[in-house]
Amino acid sequence: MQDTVYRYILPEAPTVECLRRWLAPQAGSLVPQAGRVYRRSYFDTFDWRLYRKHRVLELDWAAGRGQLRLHGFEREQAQHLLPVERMPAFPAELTASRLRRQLEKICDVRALLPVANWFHRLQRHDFRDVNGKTVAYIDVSTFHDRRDAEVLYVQLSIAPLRGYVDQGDALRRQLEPQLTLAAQQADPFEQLCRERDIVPGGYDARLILALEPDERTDASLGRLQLFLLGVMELNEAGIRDDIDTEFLHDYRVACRRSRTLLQQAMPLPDEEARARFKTLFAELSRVTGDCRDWDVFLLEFDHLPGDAPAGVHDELRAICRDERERARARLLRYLDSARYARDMRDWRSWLERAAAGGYAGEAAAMPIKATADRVIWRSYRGIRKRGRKLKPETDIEGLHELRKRCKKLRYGIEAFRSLYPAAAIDHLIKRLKKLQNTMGAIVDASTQGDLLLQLHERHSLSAAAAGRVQQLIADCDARHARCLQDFRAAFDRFSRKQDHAAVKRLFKPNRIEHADENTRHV
Amino acid sequence: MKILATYNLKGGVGKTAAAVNLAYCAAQAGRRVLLWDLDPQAAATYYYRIEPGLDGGSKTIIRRKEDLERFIKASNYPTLDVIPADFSNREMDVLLTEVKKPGKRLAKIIKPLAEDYDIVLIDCAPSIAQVSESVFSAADALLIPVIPTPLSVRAYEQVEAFCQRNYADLRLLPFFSMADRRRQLHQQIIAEFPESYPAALASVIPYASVVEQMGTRRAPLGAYAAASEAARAYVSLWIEIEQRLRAG
Ligand SMILES: Nc1ncnc2c1ncn2[C@@H]1O[C@H](COP(=O)(O)OP(=O)(O)OP(=O)(O)O)[C@@H](O)[C@H]1O
Ligand SMILES: [Mg+2]
Repeated sequence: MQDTVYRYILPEAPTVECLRRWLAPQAGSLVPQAGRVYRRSYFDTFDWRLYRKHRVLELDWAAGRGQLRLHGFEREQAQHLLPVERMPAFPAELTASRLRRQLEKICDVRALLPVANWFHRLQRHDFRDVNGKTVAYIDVSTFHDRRDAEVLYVQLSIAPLRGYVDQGDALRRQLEPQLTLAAQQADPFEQLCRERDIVPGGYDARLILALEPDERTDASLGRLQLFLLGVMELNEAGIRDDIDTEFLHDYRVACRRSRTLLQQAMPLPDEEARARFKTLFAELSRVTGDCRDWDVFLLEFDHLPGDAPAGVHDELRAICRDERERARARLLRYLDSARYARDMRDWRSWLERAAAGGYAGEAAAMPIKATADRVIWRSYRGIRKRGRKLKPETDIEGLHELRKRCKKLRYGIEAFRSLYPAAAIDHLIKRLKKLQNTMGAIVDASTQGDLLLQLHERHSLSAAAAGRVQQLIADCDARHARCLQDFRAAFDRFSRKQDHAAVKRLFKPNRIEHADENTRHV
Repeated sequence: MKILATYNLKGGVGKTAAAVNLAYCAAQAGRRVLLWDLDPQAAATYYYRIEPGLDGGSKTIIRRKEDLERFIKASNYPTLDVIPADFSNREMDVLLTEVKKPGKRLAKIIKPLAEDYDIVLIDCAPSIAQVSESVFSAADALLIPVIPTPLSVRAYEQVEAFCQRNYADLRLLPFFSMADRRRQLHQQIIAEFPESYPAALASVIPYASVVEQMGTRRAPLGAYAAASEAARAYVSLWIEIEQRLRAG
């Protein structure tokens, strides 16, 4: 259930007398309650999913109990409240409530992390009608760094009680014109972030660097790669602490983007260094991949098809967790190795040199647009050639290869997208995505089948669990076969003639672009 | 969400006093509570200073013309809301006989609020046939105040026999209400009752004038006499009820 609240930032806290004076024409009385001090903490996911959706999640904590509140940034806003006895890491662990449902929708599998906290002194006033029935709360909140420190921020809020919306609104209309508002009307959350030098929404794993077409290739690639390296570094702590599965996911995606750019576009002049970093990224792909596969499998666990006898899922889940822990231990050993530290340090210094335009050779000096054209066009052509001949029913390796190439094409397009007309790029990505989804379904079915097979071969399962695993393997096989049939049509749709002509116009090197680029897709 | 109801065949045994005070105790303990006043006399509504009356009367609710949510009023206390009584609650019996599966109707009406409340507490009027049965099938437990007199115990036995026959899954939680410690007879019945009824709750609500004052104070005991013996008895009664509910 949600309630509406009106909030105003004031330069200073009004006294009770002052509030009474302002509200005098309203029949009823203003009854101040005992003041209370809460520790106010704010939460968001590592990638700021709540903030990006213009939501604030705050916890007021006092005497072993808390009140969780989810709200927006507007002056008039709906809020969801939930009393809690502890703050869980995941929304799913909260009591069933509308607040939980909202959080689950926004945060998905991500954990809630504390962003910052300060102290909230709440002076509540009940506004009671002539029957002594409270119809609204008038709250004066002050925020402090420490319990008794100076006031940093003052907020007045009017919260009509459930079922008393009209009365609450009358109060608001009475009060609002009399308030002197502070110049700065930011939410206390934004104010606190400013105080603490926190940039809400600061972390973003999406690669959205703007490149200049004439920029040197080494400089552009250096910037792109430094960004990706930054994403990897930012996620390392979360991987080590095992906060949620998405740290590894973001790390892994950044790592693969890096690997693709290194293979396809990076004009690294030193062959030895090139080979060394290729090995680094290949190894990282492998060690992160094992762990990620189990993560995905465990996340899917509750949505597996069919029914299982009681206890079987617990048995299987425990084994999967075990496997995942082992894969994770291998990953951590790798991340902790001296070689990894050295490789990453050297990688960074190579990138910094690139970003400064300091690579020797013709390729490094080429305008990035020319490099991007060449890389994307070659990658695209390779896919078309292979895809047309591919018979996935007999050549599953070929399908895996094609899927990898599509992923690389996607990474290439995304890295260089700022060099091309946005609409054309979006259209191409949309088409590519459809093809990738079709192939993804095929490959996922076989990955899942492989994991299940591993379970079956490596562990002594109870008869019931073994039966369930066999049933799931059969299910994967069937799904695999079914999805295979979709491939041909999906590929033909991807490589349609008119779309192919457009891609050619966009990327084929040594061609002048046409002005009708943006008007083509309707 | 758990649905509880105060119930007894007998009138004037402290059902409403219990509903009003237990709702308050539960809310103070951090539960999200909805108190639904089904009694046309509207006593619980009155104690919480809420105007009785529902737009469109109880038929709007029973016929599910509008969601129950629309009728909710917040009380003066955090996490405690009320659905006020309406004089037309008298006609609920008739209204319920008009619908399909009258027994399931209340449960169905409450269900959309499952995410919003931890506890729904229904205050029933004494013995109204169809409504009570609908309450019985919706409720997880009945809270049954029993005055420690032979007649009251007998009334409880009737309720118990009826429920065992027709609502075997329904949990009955009897407790003593309006107990006068100076009376030999009360003392004796309180001492003997648990032997025959091991499910009985141990907390005893004493007969006390502070409880009667609820009528003039128009507030639950905890709000004006938190330290009184009666207020503390309701608190410990609530703790016991929660333990029973948790134990499943
Ligand atoms: N513990 C108590 N001590 C003293 N008086 C009490 C106590 N509990 C209830 N009363 C008083 O007894 C009267 C009946 O109580 P209450 O309304 O709670 O009973 P009820 O079972 O709900 O009655 P009804 O059957 O009419 O709904 C009220 O006036 C109430 O103030
Ligand atoms: Mg009553």
